[in-house]
Amino acid sequence: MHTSVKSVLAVFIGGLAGSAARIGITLVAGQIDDYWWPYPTLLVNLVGSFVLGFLIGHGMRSVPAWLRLGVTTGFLGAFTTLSAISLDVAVPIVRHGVGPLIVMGSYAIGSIILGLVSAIVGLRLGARRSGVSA
Amino acid sequence: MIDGWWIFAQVLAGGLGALVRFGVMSVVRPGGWSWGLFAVNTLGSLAVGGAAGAFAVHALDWTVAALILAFSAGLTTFSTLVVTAAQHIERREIRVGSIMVTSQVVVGIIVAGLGYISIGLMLGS
Repeated sequence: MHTSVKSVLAVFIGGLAGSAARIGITLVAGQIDDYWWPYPTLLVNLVGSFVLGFLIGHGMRSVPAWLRLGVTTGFLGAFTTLSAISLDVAVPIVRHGVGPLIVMGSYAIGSIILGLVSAIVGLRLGARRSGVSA
Repeated sequence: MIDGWWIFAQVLAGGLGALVRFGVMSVVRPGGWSWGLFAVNTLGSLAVGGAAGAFAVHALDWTVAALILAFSAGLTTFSTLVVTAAQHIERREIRVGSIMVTSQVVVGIIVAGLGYISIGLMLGS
């Protein structure tokens, strides 16, 4: 099989798996409690950012390129999401005015800061594990 | 109603979104600024805002709106954004990394809001 076709298939299959995992976590969280702020999205985004940082920091040099793409661009790319943050923050503010601004603004800022921290910790741990600098 | 087929359709839409993201980011090569990533994150945020706005004025069925949300969730990505920004920060390019992640989140929220309002106004009147 040609490498590019293999890569496209790997990204698609990884994307299916990443979407399934995210949807599964969201559905389970909805069964556990009727959450009013989107902590499942924050959870998947932080976990995904840490794991992607770790893998990029590590380098995955022994892993074939198509499999790297399947895991990083496919699985982790689809597991995490920006559009859910955009929607979860924008719609309450549009519908209810400045009332939800502090809570949803904090959620957006928290996602940025904690996401960066997760990614940096992942990059450094991955680099340390592989013995190179991030 | 959430059943096996609904979940299957959602997962399929997310996988297709990931595939489109891969295509866009392969064509729009990353330079100093990740324009391909910026494009998919902005378009996906606009799409979810529009779908939610259309659903809010009963112009779009819930199943179709949910499929657009699932496709956009696969199209957009948070992990690639923050890891790319974190790599800049690790190289002491703190301003570039901070502006990259903040601008994409803020633009995403703004376009989602604009999509919600404009589609709602267009289809609701």
